[in-house]
Amino acid sequence: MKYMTNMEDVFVHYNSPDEYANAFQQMIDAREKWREQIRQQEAQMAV
Amino acid sequence: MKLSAEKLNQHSPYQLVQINDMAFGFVTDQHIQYKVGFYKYTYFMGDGSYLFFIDNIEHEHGTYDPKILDVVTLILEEFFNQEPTVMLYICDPTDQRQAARDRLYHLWFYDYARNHEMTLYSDSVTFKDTKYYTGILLRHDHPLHDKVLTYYQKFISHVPERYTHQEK
Repeated sequence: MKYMTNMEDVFVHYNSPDEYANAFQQMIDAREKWREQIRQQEAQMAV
Repeated sequence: MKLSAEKLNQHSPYQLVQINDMAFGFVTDQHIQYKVGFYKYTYFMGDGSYLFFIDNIEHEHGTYDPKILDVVTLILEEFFNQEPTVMLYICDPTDQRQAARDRLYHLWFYDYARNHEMTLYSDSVTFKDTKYYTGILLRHDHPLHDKVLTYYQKFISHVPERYTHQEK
């Protein structure tokens, strides 16, 4: 599996506080992105 | 990865409606609508980790409903049976109930019959003046189990530093 053959490349590496902050902000923002994705897909299902 | 409502509905106490490959909707006996599913989070492990969300869209509060936990358990078991993967969560802080939500994850885990096969680790982070509760769930037999946990702890510990520094 990918995990087993390329272990060191699995993790995303950050080199600065800004990069860590951005990654965490993306985690926070993901909830609303997920909600929007759900809304759009439900709208498509309703058509 | 794809999770199938058809398969899950063989055991689910609530009928799941497939919204996408990794998300479902269901309505409880108390007529509360939930959405539940996963969102690929590529800022942690490339394509090997997912954020888990469960959302009561209308923010209605019913009485305690154990069937909701049964649905969550079914979905999580199917998720972890598909491939070695990692689930992350971050509790919604918008109504200041993020700590209570984090406790729900731990209560679920405590009651989960197969918790001896899993690791749950959670932490809190103050970021931009808001306290966030976030956690990670993975199987003990994940091929990178220890490395994933170590990386998660490093990741979380590095998040607030910039903001602590800025406030001085």
